[in-house]
Amino acid sequence: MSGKVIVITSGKGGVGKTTTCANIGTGLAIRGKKTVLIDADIGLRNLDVVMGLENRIVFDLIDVVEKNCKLRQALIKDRRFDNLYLLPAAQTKEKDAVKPEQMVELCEELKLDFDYILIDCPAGIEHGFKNAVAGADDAIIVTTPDVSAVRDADRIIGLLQTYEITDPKLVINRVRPDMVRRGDMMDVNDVNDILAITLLGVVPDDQSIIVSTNRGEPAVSDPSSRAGQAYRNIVARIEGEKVPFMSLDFDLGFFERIKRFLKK
Amino acid sequence: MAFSDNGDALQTGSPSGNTIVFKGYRSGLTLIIPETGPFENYLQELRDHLKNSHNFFNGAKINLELGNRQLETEEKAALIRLFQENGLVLRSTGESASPVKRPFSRGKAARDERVVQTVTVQKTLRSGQRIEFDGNVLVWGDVNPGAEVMASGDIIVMGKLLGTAHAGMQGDRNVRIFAFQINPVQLRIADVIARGGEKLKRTKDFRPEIAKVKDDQIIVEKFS
Repeated sequence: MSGKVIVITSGKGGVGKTTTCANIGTGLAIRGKKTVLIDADIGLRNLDVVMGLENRIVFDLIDVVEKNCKLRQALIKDRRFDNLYLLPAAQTKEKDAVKPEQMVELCEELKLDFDYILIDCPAGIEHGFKNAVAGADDAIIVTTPDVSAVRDADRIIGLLQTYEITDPKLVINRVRPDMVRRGDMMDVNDVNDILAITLLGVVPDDQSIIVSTNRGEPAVSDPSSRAGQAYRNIVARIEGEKVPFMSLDFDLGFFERIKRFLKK
Repeated sequence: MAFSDNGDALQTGSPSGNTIVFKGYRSGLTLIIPETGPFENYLQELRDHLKNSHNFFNGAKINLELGNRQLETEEKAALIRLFQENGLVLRSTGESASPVKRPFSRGKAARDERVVQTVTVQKTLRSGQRIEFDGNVLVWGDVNPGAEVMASGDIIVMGKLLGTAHAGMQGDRNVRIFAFQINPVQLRIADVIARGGEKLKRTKDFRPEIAKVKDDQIIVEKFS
């Protein structure tokens, strides 16, 4: 088996990288794909918290690369989903405790056993970013529809080119249809105008995400969650299915369109 | 390949060796390419070196020292492209002055007959990417917000210009900036500056537009 290594990155912090990583990973596992999530945010780990697996950590990423333990000892199997594993970050180390070459080696080893290896990248473009992208074959860029997040995403896309990741996919997170409708928020087209990369999915702003994140239960497994549905669609697209983008009520209606036209 | 870090600004590197050298001066990094030997070999050497240095040079501004070597336009373009792929910025070239290459002059007559080198950028320039060139710059793509294009000559963008562009960097006000949508963060021509959203109209149309200096101001108009 040769798995695919996908890094989930954004540049800017707080746009939902970890949540996206947890949900996509869980979604892939539900579909029967053997998936491992790697938390590359050393020193500020929280993928384990979002996954509700914090209390099961014994060994971490640093222990693995320093060969203090075997790789399979550090992998935490999620008991709720058969095919899901987590490799947690170390909380007490610095980001430079890992080298890019070690990450490449780790990814190569995991590729033999897993269908998907998802790497949760830390914010920023420094050491942690370089570690996270070193072993990746592909990238998912998470952004929110605001100017600063899009600017940072653009920077990341440029940087990924130097790592020969030329076709990253885009997830636009926390879109609020009501604000888009009023013209107060960038819409999907505005974001795409600048970034011009393949759109993987649009996730609506959804309060259930906050609840599920705090409970450690990824929203993707909740059939009633709108954000969960968006993540299920994203997972299907990663698997190569053609899924239409769900309506976020973007249709403005005739009157609103006239109003916006006049405002120009 | 050698890397030497010597802080002595007075000593300039010698292009008489047979391998490319990076030297660090107080004014920045200088890349020395030997005068003799095929340029392609040195280009390959540089490519390997940059590949092995894992972004170490990202964002670095590089002065070029060539001795008596004269670069062909394609050679220079290839070098610039390699620099750009690795996030390096070419600051100046130490090419020896030759009678053919005159410095830019301001007069209109001189402008028409001068031969200006053009560098082509093959992709969209994204935030944090920057191209600086002594000549014209042609971009086959967009210039996104946060990206910068600097040229001593004209700037031509075969897409949207949404970032910062500075044409006529060395003071030539007769240069022009062309794009299919001029909606920049900032536009500069020689010493004239215009900020986006103020005097520059904000448009979302995709149509040929050109910016130039008129009466000490930058104006953007439909290109026809």
